[in-house]
Amino acid sequence: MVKMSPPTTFDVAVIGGGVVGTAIAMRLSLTTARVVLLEAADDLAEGASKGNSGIAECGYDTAPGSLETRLIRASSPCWEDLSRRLDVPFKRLGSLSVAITDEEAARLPHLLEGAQANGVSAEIVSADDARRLEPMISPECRGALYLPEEGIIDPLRLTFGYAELAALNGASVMLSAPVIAFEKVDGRLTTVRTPGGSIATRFVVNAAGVQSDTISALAGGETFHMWPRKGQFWILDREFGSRLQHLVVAVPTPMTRGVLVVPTTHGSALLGPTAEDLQDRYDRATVPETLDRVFEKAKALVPSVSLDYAIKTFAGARPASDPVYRIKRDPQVANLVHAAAIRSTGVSSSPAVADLVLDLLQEAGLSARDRPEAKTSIAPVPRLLFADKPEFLPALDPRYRQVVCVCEQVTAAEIAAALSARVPARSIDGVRKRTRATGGRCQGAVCMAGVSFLCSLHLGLLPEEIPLTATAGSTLGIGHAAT
Amino acid sequence: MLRRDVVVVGAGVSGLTLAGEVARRASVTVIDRLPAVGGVLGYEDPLVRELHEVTVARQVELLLGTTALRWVDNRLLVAGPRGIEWIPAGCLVFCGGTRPSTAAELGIGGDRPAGVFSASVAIHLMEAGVRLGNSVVVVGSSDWAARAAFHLDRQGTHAAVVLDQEEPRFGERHWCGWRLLEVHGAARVSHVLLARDGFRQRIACDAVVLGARLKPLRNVDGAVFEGPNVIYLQAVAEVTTARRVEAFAREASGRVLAGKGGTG
Repeated sequence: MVKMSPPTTFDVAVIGGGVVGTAIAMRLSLTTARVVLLEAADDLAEGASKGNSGIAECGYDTAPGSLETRLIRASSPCWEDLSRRLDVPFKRLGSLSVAITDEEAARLPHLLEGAQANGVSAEIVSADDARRLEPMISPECRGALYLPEEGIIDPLRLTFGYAELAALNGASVMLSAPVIAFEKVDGRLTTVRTPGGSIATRFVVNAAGVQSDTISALAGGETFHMWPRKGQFWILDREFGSRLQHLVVAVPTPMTRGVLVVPTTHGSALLGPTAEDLQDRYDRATVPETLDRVFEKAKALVPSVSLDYAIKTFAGARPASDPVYRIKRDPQVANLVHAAAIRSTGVSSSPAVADLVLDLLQEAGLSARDRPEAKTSIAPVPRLLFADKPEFLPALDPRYRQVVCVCEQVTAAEIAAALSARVPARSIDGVRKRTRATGGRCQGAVCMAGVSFLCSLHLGLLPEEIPLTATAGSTLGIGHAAT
Repeated sequence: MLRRDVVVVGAGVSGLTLAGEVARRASVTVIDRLPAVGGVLGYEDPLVRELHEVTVARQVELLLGTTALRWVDNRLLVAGPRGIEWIPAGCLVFCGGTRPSTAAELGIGGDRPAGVFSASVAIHLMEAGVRLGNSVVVVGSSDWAARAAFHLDRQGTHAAVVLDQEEPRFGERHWCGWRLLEVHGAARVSHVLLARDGFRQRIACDAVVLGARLKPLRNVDGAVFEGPNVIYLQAVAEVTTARRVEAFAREASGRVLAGKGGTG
């Protein structure tokens, strides 16, 4: 939690600590505006920003001329620079949309046209060329659409990177701060109420993901409906994922985008997702039969996927709505700006969404100019797993000698950095989201006790009191045993 | 760092036995991530002490509190009190012990609440005085599960044991022939769903301990599956004895010597 002497009134309160809310808070923190970010959960990235496929899309298949396409296209060229400044793993690997059937091959020219209409570089390649580019794709391949601009990014580290830079520039980040009410004077929002207290603000940004309809209703803003679209995934071991050199994607049908086989920035691979429209906003359950079908579809694209490599299954939920990309000033509440319904592309469009929201706030009367003295990068935390010269790390910090999570090669130095960041980890899952510790092939069987003891030291809690996740009541134990 | 003929990862019974045997004819370094020898048996076990004395007498180098990370081009990257360094070696013998299967490996679906522990984690936490729950479901009957059940019993915690194919070894309430299908709960586990022959059974509980289907614990990059010049010595029997592991390691040492890389 970031504490600063609170000004009596903030200029902007951003509601929602996902990738979109933190991107907006970071953009505003570069200006003279005083910003507070409010997140309902006890950590950032607790909604769609975790549990997604980690793709920095280039915008090849979104509707030509749409706001979504415009914002993704504006964001895509930024990643090399932005990921370096925010200490976020990113690789522009390129993707192959692989046609297995003749029918799919016949759809490739249509995909190519769509990509070209959006200004994306794209090329139809023969089956031989596709397999030369990516030897792991199926010999049944009939051809593919090659998109060199597609990339992979760590969506969690991106969210934390945005938040760290925002906090470095003086933004307040308040966790466990669900918005329960607004106060209004003359039709303008003046105060945001949370269980922990009231926050006075001149403007409000609604970036609450799947809850953004609730926030709009609380604020007396326009009525719309959000629902979660669940996606179930497999995670496969680094020994498999590190052999993939491209994103491998099914040819989408008009109904669905289909299954992906995607390397992650930490070397593993994701298979998925499903797209299941739900009513229950908290449903993240995995269903073995559904995951079996995902697996079979992935195997059709990359035959060497095997359950021997499976280390975890999970489900995430994208904030679905109709229409998508509700990024606008509210027609009824003059000082409310929505950044809502950004469905599955929030990671890919977040830099340009943040710029647009700043424009909309300024149109609405916010006085904010860029501060030349604002910081534009955060200090990177070197990671043992990716160090080219690991033998030199202990000179930076002797705790690099102590490996806590063996599977993901995470050291005590990296865990200490996560627990003492400006927006620090406050649970075991918070450590995992920032470092990958406990997230590897043994799923914490070796290191979770060790991680919990480090959390215990940093958080000043007994081991049984340590939260496992950002959800209240998720403590490791239920009490201390009498001995 | 001097090149070794053999580098052994794991200073439990199998690693110490093998190192002692191989050290008759080759240079050996043993690495363990714990600061003491003995692995799951602990350094005070009489067999561990005996094997440790043999390795010392035969000039086996012991690097304790040291984690093996990567095996690349006949070099092992390790991190420990001396720093992070590469150890060149003719071959790697991996004696990393076992771990229980993860939820994904057991095909468990459902929610992801707090209160689901690998038996190895459950044991550590209970040794530190953590009460895991009031009503706990233990899955499997491996040595890991048995140790967790022992601690639960000492804490006076009620445990039900779910056994897919294994024989009951401990506990009083057994669900034989049932499989753990789903875990449910919001912040914390509220209940699990078991399945057998098309039937479903719901059991209310507030913690789950996974101790079924042991897997070899492998976490050195480049030696997780098959690796060049890597030999695995990991007894994945659900129930075993130290003497059996020792005999297995003695037999394997012959293979290591026969196949070891050049002379250091």
